[in-house]
Amino acid sequence: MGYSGGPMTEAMYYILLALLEPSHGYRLMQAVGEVSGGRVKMGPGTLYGALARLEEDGLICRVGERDTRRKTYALTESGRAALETEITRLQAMLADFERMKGGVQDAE
Amino acid sequence: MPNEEKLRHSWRLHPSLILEQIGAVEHYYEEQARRGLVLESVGGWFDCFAHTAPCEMRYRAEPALPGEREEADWDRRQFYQDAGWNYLGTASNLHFFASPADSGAEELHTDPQDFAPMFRRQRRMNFWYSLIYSLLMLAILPLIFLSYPPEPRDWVCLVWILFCLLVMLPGLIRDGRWLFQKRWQHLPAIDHRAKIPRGITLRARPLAALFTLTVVIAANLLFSGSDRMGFAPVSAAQDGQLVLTLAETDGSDLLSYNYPLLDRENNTFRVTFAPSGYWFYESDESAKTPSGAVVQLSLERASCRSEKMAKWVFEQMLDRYDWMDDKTSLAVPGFDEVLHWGGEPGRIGWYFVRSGNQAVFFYYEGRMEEEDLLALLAEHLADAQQTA
Repeated sequence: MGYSGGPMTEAMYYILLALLEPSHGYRLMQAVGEVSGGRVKMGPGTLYGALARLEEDGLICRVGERDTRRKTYALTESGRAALETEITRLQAMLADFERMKGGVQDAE
Repeated sequence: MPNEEKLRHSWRLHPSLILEQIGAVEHYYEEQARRGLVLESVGGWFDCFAHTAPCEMRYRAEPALPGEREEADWDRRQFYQDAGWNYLGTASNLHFFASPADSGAEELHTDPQDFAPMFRRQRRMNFWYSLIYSLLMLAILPLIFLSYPPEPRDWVCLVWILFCLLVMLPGLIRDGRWLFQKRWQHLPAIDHRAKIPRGITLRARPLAALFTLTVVIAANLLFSGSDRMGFAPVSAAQDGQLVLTLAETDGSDLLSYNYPLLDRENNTFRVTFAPSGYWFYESDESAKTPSGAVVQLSLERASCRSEKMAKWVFEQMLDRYDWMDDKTSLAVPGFDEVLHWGGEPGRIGWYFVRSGNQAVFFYYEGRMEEEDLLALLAEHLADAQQTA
């Protein structure tokens, strides 16, 4: 099933985030670790499963020479828009939390 | 990896296990390296090992993506290479990678859920294969028993089939429970140091070969039973009786036995060829009838257990002699069907006769009238029927 614009999985989100700069498989795995501060460690199976789905959904594409075995992936316009939408959603959720937290503290 | 030149190589059966034991397979290869056998390549049936000094190696197996994603798989292999792992080959839908333990290659952990589709597919295949096989065997067994009394050699085959069913039953139950409980949804982490099962390279493939052999045996039993259906077994015959000449040969292997007729001196039966799946006998006999007439018969007769089978044999006889055109149908009391071909009736000619559960083809040359000849045959068949 393709990406419908709803909440992303953690793997999807961090892969898109890491692909703000085009990258290939192994480098991408390292980049996911870096952008998550080492919190998210992605194995090759998870990574390639997610890459295949993202490519099918048109959120990422391959760039550079296609005849090499090492493939470089980059965000598409749709992928960039989906990432921004997800970031906006996460920010809204966080803002909701902060507002709720502030309300509870005021009540106390 | 030690210098690969001038190394002695040996080939061993590739471990073929249920996929959840991937960790045990990796451990097995590591143990081999400690014994001086370093895995160089894997194949569907055999793995190639290089004989080296004992060393510490790490091995990892990764599920291969389905065929349409082969291109992506190339990328994944490159991924492992970038991480310091060497690709060894793909077998049983698994990519195998190796790295010396002290190489510093980054440890790559695959989420066990990534294996889930493969695990499930394999379990389902095993389950349905075992179930269909078991049902097939269970269906064949009664057919064999109903068709004819099994001979001693058949009992060996039957015992073998039952043994295989018993061997298969635990796996069938285990796979069924695994699927029913949907365990693919909660797979444990892969234990790269899992205990190595005994006979890791011998378990699955020879077992599959044995089961294939069993299917062949069962099929032979079934065909054999089908062929013999309705015929009296040879062991039930007695010397000198027509029924004893139930030949069990095939067309390419001509056999000829001479049996003395106990009650008719100087008469013999000659059992001759039979096409595969078609048992009959042929006899040459010259006998004096009570009236003194000399009868010369060349006879084929099948004594069947049912009229239906006799009709089938009768059709076979007609097919074998289909070069005899324009056979004449005769209405003779006491016989269900009588066909005559050639010569003067009652003097010379070929007759196809079916009576009840007996089918007869014979050649006659003599002086008897047709009516007397067929009456003699009826008497002959009645005697044989009583004997059988």
